[in-house]
Amino acid sequence: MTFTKKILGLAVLAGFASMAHAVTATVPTSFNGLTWTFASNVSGQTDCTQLVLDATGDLNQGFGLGLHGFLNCTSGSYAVSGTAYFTVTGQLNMTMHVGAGTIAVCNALPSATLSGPCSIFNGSGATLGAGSIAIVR
Amino acid sequence: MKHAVAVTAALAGLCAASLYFAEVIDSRRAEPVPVAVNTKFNPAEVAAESPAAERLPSFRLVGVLVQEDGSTALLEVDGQPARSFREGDAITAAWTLAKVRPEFVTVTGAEKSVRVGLSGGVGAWNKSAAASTPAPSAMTPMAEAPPFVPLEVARERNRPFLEAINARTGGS
Repeated sequence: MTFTKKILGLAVLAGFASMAHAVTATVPTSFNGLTWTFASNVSGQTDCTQLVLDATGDLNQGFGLGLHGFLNCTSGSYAVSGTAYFTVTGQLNMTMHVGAGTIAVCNALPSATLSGPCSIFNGSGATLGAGSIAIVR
Repeated sequence: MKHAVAVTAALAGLCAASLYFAEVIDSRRAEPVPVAVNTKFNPAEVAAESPAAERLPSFRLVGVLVQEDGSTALLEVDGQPARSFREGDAITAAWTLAKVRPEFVTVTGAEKSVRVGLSGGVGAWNKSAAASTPAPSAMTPMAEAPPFVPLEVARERNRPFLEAINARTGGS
């Protein structure tokens, strides 16, 4: 290997090294046990009154949150997983799979209240009913 | 001596005068004071006939589900978290959910009905929703549920999140 090739190789490596700096790695924050009151008129959810979620995300650098938790009902509970993101206007949009085959979409929740109505669909996208969540303060 | 007699006479006069005026004042107190009575509106009677339960609460219709086998509505009453009511359910002691329609519900009391529109909520006109889209079998809650989180604990857990959101959005 000639000296020129060595120099070129080093230059390429240096280039990669400088590119690596362009990627910013941040540590997401977990907020555990966030609790909302819940109400729904969907069959199987009418006795569910409490939504408890762990939310993970980087609120400083990003917009999104991962959600995992459960929907508490008097007769038991459903596993919940989903995502949420903040819009540019600061509203929170949440989509959650509740149990199997039910999806709750709570859109445009004002950041000041993090509460509002939800649409509840089955797996085919047909509306099953309505819901409502209100964060506990 | 003359001076003493004059003083005694003056004191006697003063006593007589005070006794007279005391009598007059007492007799006036005993007289009934005329009061204008409005026979058409007696607040006490109205209060007795219309208990506080008749007060129209503030309703917010969050969502409706119209079905053949019983329509339901999600209502916030007086700012409380929304609850699900079926047609015919009593919302409060004085107000009943009379009708559920895709865009509004009617709440009736003893003397009047109120129409509450769907504002920013969710409506579903699923006439045969129950038949065509039965709740999946998985929509049976798990047998063992985690315990309900007490509100005090929930408030404590939510605080850092709410503060972070507040900091992110600048309190908007």
